[in-house]
Amino acid sequence: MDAMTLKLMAEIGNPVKARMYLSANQTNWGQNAFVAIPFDTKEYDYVGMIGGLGTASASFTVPFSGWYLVSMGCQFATTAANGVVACSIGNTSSLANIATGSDWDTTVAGPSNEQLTCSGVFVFAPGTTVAAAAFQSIAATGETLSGGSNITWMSIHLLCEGFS
Amino acid sequence: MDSQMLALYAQRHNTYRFYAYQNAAQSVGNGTTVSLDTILRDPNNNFNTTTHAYTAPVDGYYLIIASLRVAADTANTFFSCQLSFTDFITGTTYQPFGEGVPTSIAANSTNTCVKMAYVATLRKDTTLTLLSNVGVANNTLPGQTNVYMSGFCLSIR
Repeated sequence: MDAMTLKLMAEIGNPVKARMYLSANQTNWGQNAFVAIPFDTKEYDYVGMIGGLGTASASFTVPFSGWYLVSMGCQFATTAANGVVACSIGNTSSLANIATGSDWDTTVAGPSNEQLTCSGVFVFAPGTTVAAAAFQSIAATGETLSGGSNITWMSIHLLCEGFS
Repeated sequence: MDSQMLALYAQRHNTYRFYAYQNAAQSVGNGTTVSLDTILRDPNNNFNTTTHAYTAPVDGYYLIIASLRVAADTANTFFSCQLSFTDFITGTTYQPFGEGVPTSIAANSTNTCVKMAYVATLRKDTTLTLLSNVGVANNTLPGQTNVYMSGFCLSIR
């Protein structure tokens, strides 16, 4: 197979991939619960997997059964006190039911730049919604999730079709 | 050859993958390129152990897995990992952050490790490097299982 055929095969064979990010800081992040990250900007999405941009329903919807690579990252900016920050991958009805990621329990007041990641290869049924969430136990108000395409992001990429 | 056979063939003959790690300890600071000096796998010869960079052979979507560990973290210093590459979608430098240990949890801890998994949109003939971000310079804890970066081309642009 020559390079052109290989490239064509890859292009045609796998357009099922997408990435989105949060562009602006989100202030007053909810306390003591996984809160959906309202990703608001699409970077690429060739088959229409992204929905709910800018809302608590921001997610990917899986078009057919398969093995998918999902990864996400987010960051809490300067925080006022010590406590737990964490992140997760779930669906829009249960935000931590697929995987949990980084989980920092800070012991000194005033940490900053708490960067969290979560990733994995998962098997999804058609129509599954895949979202990301962030958790903080620090304060009822005042905690900020940082925006930026390189800071708070999420991607999905089909690896192969089927359940087996 | 039907489409399924073609897909299988493409997967088996995809040589756009690599695994490099650090063998010699390094003092890393803020924005330091991690000195990945040893190649474990690189069938298409795209990784340079002098520049510590992977040169993308094609525009593509690459799964990048990276790990960075320091031997002894200093009190109240920030520590994270970050990729740097040219994004083929925008044509500009892109530097996504991975895991980052916050200031207070890192106080005087040892063997601190941060990781990331990212689908990077690498532009052909441009380089990908792994960066460190630390508040105070620290020495890495080198080794194949501690400081490494691997990549696999998932699909082509």
